Amino acid sequence: MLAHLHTSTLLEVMNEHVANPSEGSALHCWDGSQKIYHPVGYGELSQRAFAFGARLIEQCEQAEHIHGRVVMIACHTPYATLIAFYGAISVGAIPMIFPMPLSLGSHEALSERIKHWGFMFEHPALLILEEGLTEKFHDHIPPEITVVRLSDSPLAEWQTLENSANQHVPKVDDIAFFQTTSSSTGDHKAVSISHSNIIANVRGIRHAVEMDENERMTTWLPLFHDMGLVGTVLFSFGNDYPLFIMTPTQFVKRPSIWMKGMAEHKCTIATAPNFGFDYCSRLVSEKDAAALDLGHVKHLFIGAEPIRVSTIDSFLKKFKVSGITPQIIRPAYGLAESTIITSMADPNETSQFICLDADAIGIGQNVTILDTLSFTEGDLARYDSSKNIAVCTAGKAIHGMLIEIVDEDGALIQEEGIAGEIAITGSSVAMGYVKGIKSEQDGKTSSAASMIESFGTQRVGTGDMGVFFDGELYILERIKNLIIRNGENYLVSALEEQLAELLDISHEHVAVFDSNIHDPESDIVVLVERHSPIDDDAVNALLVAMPKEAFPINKILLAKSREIPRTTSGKKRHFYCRKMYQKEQLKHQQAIEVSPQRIVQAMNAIEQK
Amino acid sequence: MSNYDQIYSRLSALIAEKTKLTESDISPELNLEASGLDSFARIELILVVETEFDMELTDAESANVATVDDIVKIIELKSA
Repeated sequence: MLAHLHTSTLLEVMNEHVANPSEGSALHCWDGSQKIYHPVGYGELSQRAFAFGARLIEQCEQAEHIHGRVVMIACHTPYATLIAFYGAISVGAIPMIFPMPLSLGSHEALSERIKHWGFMFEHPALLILEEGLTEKFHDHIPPEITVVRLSDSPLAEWQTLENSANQHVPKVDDIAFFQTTSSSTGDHKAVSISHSNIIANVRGIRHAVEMDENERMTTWLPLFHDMGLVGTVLFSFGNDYPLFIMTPTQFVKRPSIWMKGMAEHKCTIATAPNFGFDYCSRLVSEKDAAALDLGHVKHLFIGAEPIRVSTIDSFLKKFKVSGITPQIIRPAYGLAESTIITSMADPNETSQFICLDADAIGIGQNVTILDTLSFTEGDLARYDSSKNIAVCTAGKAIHGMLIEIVDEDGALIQEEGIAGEIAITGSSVAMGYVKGIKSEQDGKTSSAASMIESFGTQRVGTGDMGVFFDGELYILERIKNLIIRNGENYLVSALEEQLAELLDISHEHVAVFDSNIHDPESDIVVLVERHSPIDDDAVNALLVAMPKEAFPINKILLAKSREIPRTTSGKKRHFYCRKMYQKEQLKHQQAIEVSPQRIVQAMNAIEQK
Repeated sequence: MSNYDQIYSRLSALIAEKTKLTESDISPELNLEASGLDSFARIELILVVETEFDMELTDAESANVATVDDIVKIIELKSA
């Protein structure tokens, strides 16, 4: 197999796949009905994408009308998503992959995104829908949006663009695609990723873990997620590695199928967030685990959300019988602002975790490290989660990236052991945030460059609190307000605004936080400041009216005014809400449970009145 | 009892078991999303349906399931 790491754009990689198809390098998509992976070679995949690019040009009548135009992709299957994605790249359009209704909570949530992004630029964006889905969405799609259906027609039916003058030749610093930063949260924020960003990040990952030319990958991560798209799909495509992929829904339904595929297809690299490893530990039976031979697996990449020592412990215990060892666990840290991967654990050492006093975590504070342990069986047995918290290593910056710790004013903290915000610079740092028309004085943006609020060469704050210890990065807390449950991201500010609207109060009086970021099952709590408790009728009305779109709240606490911890400038301190809640120091007058059965009871109570 | 009713009866028992809703809370019009089941819980419910009715729903079919009635109809269609 050939690695295409000498190339400088994704289009060059596609052309190389067509010109020199490698035997065995293919995208293998799981078919739940037939219970097999269907392969499509990267050469064939690229050809189909070129053909689809020609369809896009036809749609726009002229090739130049598609250059720089945003193409929104809403497809269920990885295969269709990637035909659309690479097809858009081939003609110089800017693809942007959307989560589907099952991830977003509803069809309306998807149509809201289509309406938002569709009209943000000079020309309305195109919308790619998989065959069979358009009827469901049709009523919600504004007529100004051109819909292109992606059929699964045989290759021969499509006009191909191979060696055609229509192919767009991008420069290395041109926009390759737009990546939403917290796709399922609905905050409408996206970064612009250039071709050089992709190549730099793919090279950086490969360099960090010293992979050879015969790796085989597997994942179930969604392609609207940067770890799924860049960390897995583009990484395998650029390195000519076969990729065995299933959808998140298929994984959630049957995680053992994913593990079995890893064993049967001799995958050497698997990528998943903490949730995935935790889910496999809980749902794959002892019997199924004993039947798996996973001794060939070399790297289990884990990232995208806080990595929990308890998860690693459970996973290692469950799959030790399958041949999984502590040495192959590779914690990584990444974010869309750095294309994906920023840092990664050293492949030559068993990854470590540090034990901390939770009370001593804060920006500018000297972190008290009580113990340093590794993922070995003995060390994991020594760790006592009741006494302190454990934080996994995120390793060292990948090639081309620099990670620094800064204080609340952005000043560099040079001393190791002092906590602060993680800030990044380097070749994987995205071009910048995608601007909306609201930020343009003259209305809509008119060129690709003007679509972006550039990061320039300055440090980019990540919104995560971290600390360096023995040269390795440890992620301590989130400063940005994001809640992650079951692999889904929820933006706290959006939840707070929705709740405030329901309660008819300012969002300043609502604080949403997860009660323990180290426990995936912990409650998600809302602290509301209001003058007095509310009666049963009002509680029922609130529960029924709560927005159901991706709303994972477990508990609402009604408190008197000034109970939400704040900075001296009045900003809410969600981190301290969590700390106080854990210590049972959050004062409140009324607690309301939120659960499906409670909501249905509320619906029935209202109906009976 | 019609085929629809038979499927509905089995399904409402399954939903009650899975979600801890009582069967009297469940109706064909019950919107799963409105009743507070997040996307993860709905996928888990679909898995229970697949196992009970020995079928596999595609991602697109799963996404189109909004109410109890939607599930009954898709089971009817796929078992025909």
